[in-house]
Amino acid sequence: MSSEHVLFLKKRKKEKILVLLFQILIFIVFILIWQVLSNTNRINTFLTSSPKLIYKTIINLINNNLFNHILVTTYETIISFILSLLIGIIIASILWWNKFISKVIDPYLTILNSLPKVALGPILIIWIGANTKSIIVMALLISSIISIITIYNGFNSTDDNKIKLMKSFNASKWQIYTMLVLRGNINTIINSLKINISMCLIGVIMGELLVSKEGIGYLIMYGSQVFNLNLVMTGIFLLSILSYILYFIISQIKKN
Amino acid sequence: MNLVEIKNLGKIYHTINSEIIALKDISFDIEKNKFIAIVGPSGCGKSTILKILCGLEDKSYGKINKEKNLKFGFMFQQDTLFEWLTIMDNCLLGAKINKCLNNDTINHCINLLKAYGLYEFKDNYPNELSGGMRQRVALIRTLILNPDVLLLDEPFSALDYQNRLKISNDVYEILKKENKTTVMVTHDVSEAVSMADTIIVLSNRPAEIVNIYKIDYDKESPIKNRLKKEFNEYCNKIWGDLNVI
Repeated sequence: MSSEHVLFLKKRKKEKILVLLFQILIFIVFILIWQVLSNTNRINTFLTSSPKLIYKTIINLINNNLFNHILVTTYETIISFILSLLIGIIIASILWWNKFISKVIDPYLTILNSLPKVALGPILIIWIGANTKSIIVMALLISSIISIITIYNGFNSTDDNKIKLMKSFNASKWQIYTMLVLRGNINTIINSLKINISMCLIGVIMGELLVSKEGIGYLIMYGSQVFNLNLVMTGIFLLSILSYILYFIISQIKKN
Repeated sequence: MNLVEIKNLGKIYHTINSEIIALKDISFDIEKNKFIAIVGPSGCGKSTILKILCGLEDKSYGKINKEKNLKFGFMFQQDTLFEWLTIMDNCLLGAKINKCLNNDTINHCINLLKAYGLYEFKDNYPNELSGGMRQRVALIRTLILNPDVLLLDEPFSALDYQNRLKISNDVYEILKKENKTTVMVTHDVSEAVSMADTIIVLSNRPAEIVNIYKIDYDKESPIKNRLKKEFNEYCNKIWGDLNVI
C-alpha cells in the first residue's frame, strides 16, 4: 500500500468519526438545552415535558408493561411489513404478467394511492373490530399500495433488449419472469423495503391511535387523553428509537 | 446451398394515426457459410428483417422458406449481459433456458472462453470487463447453442472506433473458425465491406433493396481488407447507392 493510499484511508476514517461525533453532539446539545430550559422554568414542562421527566416515565413504565407495549408495536409492524412485501410482489407480478389487468386497474391504484387511508379507519373498526387485525389492515392499506407501485415500476423498467434476448433463446414467459424480471429487480425490492418499513410503522401507529389497548400508539393516545404530556413525549421518543432500529436492520440487509 | 430463402417480405406497422410501411418486397437468400451484411440509413427497418427471421416479430406478408429445424442465434447492439450472473453463467444462459445444460455444453463453453481469451474471467461479473470483452462474451453466449445462422444487429455500434475495428476483427475470426453463416445489420458501410461476402443495400423508409453486391476480392482480415484498393471502390459504390456522395 502506498503512503498516499494510507493517507487517503486515514482521511476517510477521520471524516467518518467527525460525522458521528457531530451527530452525537447535536443530540446531547438538544437534550441539554431542553433540560436547562425546563430547570430554569423558561418552558412549561407540563406542555413540553423534559428529558429527566421522560427518563422517570420510562423507569416507571418498565414496571408497567413497557416492553409489552414495544413488543406489540414491533410485532404489528413486522407482520404488516412481511405481508405488504408479499402483497407488493404478488400484485406487481400479476400486473406485469397481464398488461390488460394492469391497464384496467391503473386508475384504481392511483385513487387508492392518493386517498388518505386514515379516513378508512372508522370503516375498518366497524368491519373488523377494534383489535390487532384492524391495525394490521390499516398498516397494509398504507404500505401495500406504495410497495405495489414501486415494485411494478421496477418490473416494467426491465431492459427490453434483455427480454428480447431471452425470447431469442425461446424462453417461456415464466422463465423471463423468474430469471430476468424478478431476479433483476432484487435491488428495487430491497429499496422498497426501506420505504415500506416506515410506511408500516406509520400505519401501525395510526391504527393504535384509533383502536388499540396496547402498543406505543396507545401510550401516546392515552397520555394525550389524560393530559400526561410526559407519557406522550416518552411514546414519541420510544417510537423514534424503534423506527431507527427497524430502518437500520433493513439497511444492513441491503448492504449484504 | 441456401439455408433460408426470403421472398417479397414486407412489414407494416399500425399506429393510431397511420400505417407505416417499414419493409417492402425484400427478397434474398442466405447461403450456407456466407457472411451477409445489410446496410441502409438509420431507422430504415434493417433490424426488423433480423427480428422477423428469428421470430421476435411477425411479418406482414411474403414468404420465408427455411431448412427444417434451422436454429438462429441473435446478437444485439448492446451486449445485454445479466449483471448478476458471472461470465460463465451469462454464456450458459441459452443452454439453461433450453434445459440442455450438461457437461458437453459446459465444456463447449469453457473451450470457447479459452479460445477467445476470456477463460480467466469466467468467475468475474460483467461490470469488471471492458466493452470489447463484454461483446465477445455476448457472442460466445450466442454460439453456445450452435446456431445455424447468426444474426448480428449492429453488434459493434456501442463501442468506440478503435475497439470497433479490433472487435469486428476478432468476431470475424471467431465466425470463420466456427464456420458460421451470418447476417449482420449495420449502418457502417466500411464495416460491411470489410467483413461481408454479400452486401444488401436498403433504401430509406419504406426499405426496399437498392442493390446487392457480391464482394469479390482477395480477403484477409477485416482490418487488413480496409487497406485494399477494392475496399474503397465498393465503399464508394455503396455510398453512391445511399446518396451519401
